[in-house]
Amino acid sequence: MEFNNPSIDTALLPQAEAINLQPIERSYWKVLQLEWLITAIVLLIAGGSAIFFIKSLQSNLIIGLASGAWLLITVLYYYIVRQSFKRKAYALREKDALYRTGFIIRRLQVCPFNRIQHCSVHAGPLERRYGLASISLYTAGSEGSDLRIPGLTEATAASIREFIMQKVRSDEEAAR
Amino acid sequence: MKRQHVDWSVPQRQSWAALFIILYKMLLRILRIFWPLLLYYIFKNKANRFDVLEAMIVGLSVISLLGSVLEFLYFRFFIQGDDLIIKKGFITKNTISLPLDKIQAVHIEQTWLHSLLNASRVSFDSAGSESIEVKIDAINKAEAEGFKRFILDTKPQSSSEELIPVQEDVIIRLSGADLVRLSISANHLEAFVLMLAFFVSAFEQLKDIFNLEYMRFISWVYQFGDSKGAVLLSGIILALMVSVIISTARIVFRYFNFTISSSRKGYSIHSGLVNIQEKLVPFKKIQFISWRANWIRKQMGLFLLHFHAIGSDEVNEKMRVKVPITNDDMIPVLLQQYHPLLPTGTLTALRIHNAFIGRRMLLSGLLPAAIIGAGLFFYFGWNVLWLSVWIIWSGISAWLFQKKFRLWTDHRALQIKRGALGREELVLRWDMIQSVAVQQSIYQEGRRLATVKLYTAGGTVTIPYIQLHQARAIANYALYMVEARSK
Repeated sequence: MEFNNPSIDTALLPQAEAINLQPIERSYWKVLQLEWLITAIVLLIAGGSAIFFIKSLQSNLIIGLASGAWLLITVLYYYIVRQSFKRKAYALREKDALYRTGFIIRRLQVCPFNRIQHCSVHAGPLERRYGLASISLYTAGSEGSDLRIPGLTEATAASIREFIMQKVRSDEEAAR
Repeated sequence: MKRQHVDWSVPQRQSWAALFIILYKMLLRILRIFWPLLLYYIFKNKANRFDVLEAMIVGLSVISLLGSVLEFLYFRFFIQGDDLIIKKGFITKNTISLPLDKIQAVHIEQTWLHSLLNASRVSFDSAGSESIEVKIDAINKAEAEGFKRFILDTKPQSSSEELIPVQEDVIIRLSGADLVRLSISANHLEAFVLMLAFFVSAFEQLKDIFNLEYMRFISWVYQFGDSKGAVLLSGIILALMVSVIISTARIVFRYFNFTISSSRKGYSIHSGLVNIQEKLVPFKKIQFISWRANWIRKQMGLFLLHFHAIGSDEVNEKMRVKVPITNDDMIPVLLQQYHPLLPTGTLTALRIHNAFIGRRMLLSGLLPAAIIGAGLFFYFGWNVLWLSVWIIWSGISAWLFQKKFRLWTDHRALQIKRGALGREELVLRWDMIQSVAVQQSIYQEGRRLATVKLYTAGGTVTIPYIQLHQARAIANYALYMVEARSK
């Protein structure tokens, strides 16, 4: 049997970063806003309860500092969530799925179809309210290896799942 | 009532036994978290009033019961086409699709509770994803066997495994002298911290229950010494001695009678004094291989070689396979079935950017020291300036790490050498990668730097602070190598 080992020009390889990514659904921003609101209210109740029940905290200075910290955290959190939402986008290629996310840490993750073990579609109560779902692609890789794309319509999530499972099956058949 | 023929394409509910098992598991989880509270409740002076604690216990029990019933009612499993589908969740709906040909093994297990309820747990081994559990808590014992048979009969067969013929002989056998060298060079500091953490955590949990006070405890300790200095010194010496004994014992218990030999299927490892471990590491399950040494071991020429096999990520301690190497020449022998060492002398090494030093010093030295220092200033005054030693050390270690880091690549694999005072090297074949990520902090983006994460089924390999175009080239090449070939 003849053995070939040609050199590869890495400049000619497909470039993941050059792909036009598709933004996730705009209505997902409402889900993120609701999550932000719930977090802000929970923080407010926790801080308010601590001040209400612990007498040593009932000074103007502490109340002022706590209010300032709460305001700073919630505003900063809102800004980060907003910026992160703007960057969330995905793409499907012939052989892999790409997902970009993050604001402080910007991340482009690529998951080859021939590495997917299984995939699942989730829809939390807030997502369901807006007819949204997220899809998770599980590989055999270590923590962080799995890819989760949120903010898809339920129909898109289901069709992506079907597309990927089809790919996984055809890869398996090709391998046999 | 036993069902003889089950149509597995129709969504099935678990056996009623599952309800008890889910409830039992939930109660165990609650007990694990709230055991100090319950202990306190048992031992406290009982007043006749219905207090907050009792309300909490009743509330938790009701929530557990409701949660278990809902988990049971909203769980369905069935076979659809070539996939096993599991639907679960009341608040958050979750649908898992597991292709039947991905299933490597179907396990049927019975705990004492399962035996009592004539049920079995069915779980599916699908090459290692630790982040999700694919299992059915309880179905009727006979049905479980039928389901297993059905899956194994239905699933497409994978191609036959290629066995690599190798000479079956012992590669490494540790002598008594090797054990002594390993014990001397063990990380005694780690044993000390482990011991300290154990005592502090046990004391923290029990002091509230039994009304113990630190000061009372400390004054009790002081009764045994003439002065603070003597107590402190003897305490430190005692702690060090115990640490050395503990780390030596750990080495002896783990590596007594250690042998590694090569067989047709993989490396066979035998070791241990009390818990004797027999492990087989199949060659094809090795994702990457690393070997490391702390500063003392580096001087003594000792390394711990780690086979990163499928499912052996950091959380799964039982699956980790470490081989003590007492002779450098053994490393190429153990790499032989995976990939030989790269000819580093003839390849160009890629290095990480200088910006790494300042950033690492800021994030792991300056910032935490400033936060902790600000908190401790009220108690210790200007003594908090001692924290500057930590900042200096983080700077020095970041500088050493950046200076020593090397990455070599060739067509089939990459090799990394890194470490500050110690040394770690690893070899990773491109085709073992599961997924890749290129990430940039805002700081990195401004300098066109990036960090690449290469995820394998045996752990993650991180290449920090390289040029963005280099990071992209590495990611694209890894994808090419993975996608150009079938599984």
